[in-house]
Amino acid sequence: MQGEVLKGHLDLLLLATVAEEPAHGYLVVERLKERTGGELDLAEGTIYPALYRLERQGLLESSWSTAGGRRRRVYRLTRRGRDELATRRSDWQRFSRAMRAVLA
Amino acid sequence: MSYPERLGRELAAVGIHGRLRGRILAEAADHLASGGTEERFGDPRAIAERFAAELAPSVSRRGAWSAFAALAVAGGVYAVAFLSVSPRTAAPAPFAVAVVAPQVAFVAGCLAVLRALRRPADTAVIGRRALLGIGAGIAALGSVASLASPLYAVPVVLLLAAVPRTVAAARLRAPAAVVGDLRDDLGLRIEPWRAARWLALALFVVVAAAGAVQGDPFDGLLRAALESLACLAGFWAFGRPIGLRR
Repeated sequence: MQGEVLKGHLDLLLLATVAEEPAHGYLVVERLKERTGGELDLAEGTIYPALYRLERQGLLESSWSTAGGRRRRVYRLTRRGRDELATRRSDWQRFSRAMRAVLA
Repeated sequence: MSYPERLGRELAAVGIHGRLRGRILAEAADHLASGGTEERFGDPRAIAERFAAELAPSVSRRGAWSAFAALAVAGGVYAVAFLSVSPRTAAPAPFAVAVVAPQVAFVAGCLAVLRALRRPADTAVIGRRALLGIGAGIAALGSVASLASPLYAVPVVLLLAAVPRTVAAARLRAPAAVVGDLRDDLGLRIEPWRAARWLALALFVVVAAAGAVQGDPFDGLLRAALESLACLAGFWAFGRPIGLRR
């Protein structure tokens, strides 16, 4: 899937991925790849600016942790983020149903 | 040059410095050490520009609002201090600064917030407006403190505390940022110099009317003329750097 198509949905994908379990940037990318069977084609570095923005919007929070002697930033959903995810998920499901009804 | 060095250089080029830059580089290094490749991570310049674009709205809003909040407190203290200053006995130079600087601070602070609300991606111009407001605010408090009491200079601390956030906004180069002019602030199609002339005329009328109401029309006319000229001079002097005219 092309980057431009993805752009509008990246926030929802990131929120949903982090909602499963707190994760650092690389793990977020890996989960996205795994769950989509590699269908999403995005420059991995571009998820970090989006994660920073979501954090500044209060939807994510993050903290440093140490693993294997390396410092890594772990992101988790805030309560506001959880509410936002529920809203966006429901919007997406409505949109998706409508699209399927037209394209089927 | 290694990938992290190139990314660091590109982040600096878009105005991302200090702790934020350190954090981005640490996360990129961890990503690459975890199994990611430089190719998959992306072009350093594109990544840096993406960071600037994504962070621009929050950085500019923080810069504008922190300057505005500090200026609001400083403005309150200034108003109290100015009541104890007598124009007849005050030294002319500090008195002139005490009259002009707060007006510049007020206008610059309001314009910073206005642009941050309307076009938050215009980081540089928002930061410059906020910095001008802070600078004028410090000048206003300093002059009124020299005329009244040094205690009135205390809110300068608040203004200085707002500087790092405004500097961060002024330095960030978001790809979509423009300097623009008054039309970008007001959403009107009026030519900026024409708007300035109308504003100067309106000021003249208001100040002259206030003088007439206070029973001293000649003094009112004199002050009205000075205010109008100061408005036009300010527009000429600061208009281009703070994005009021091109």
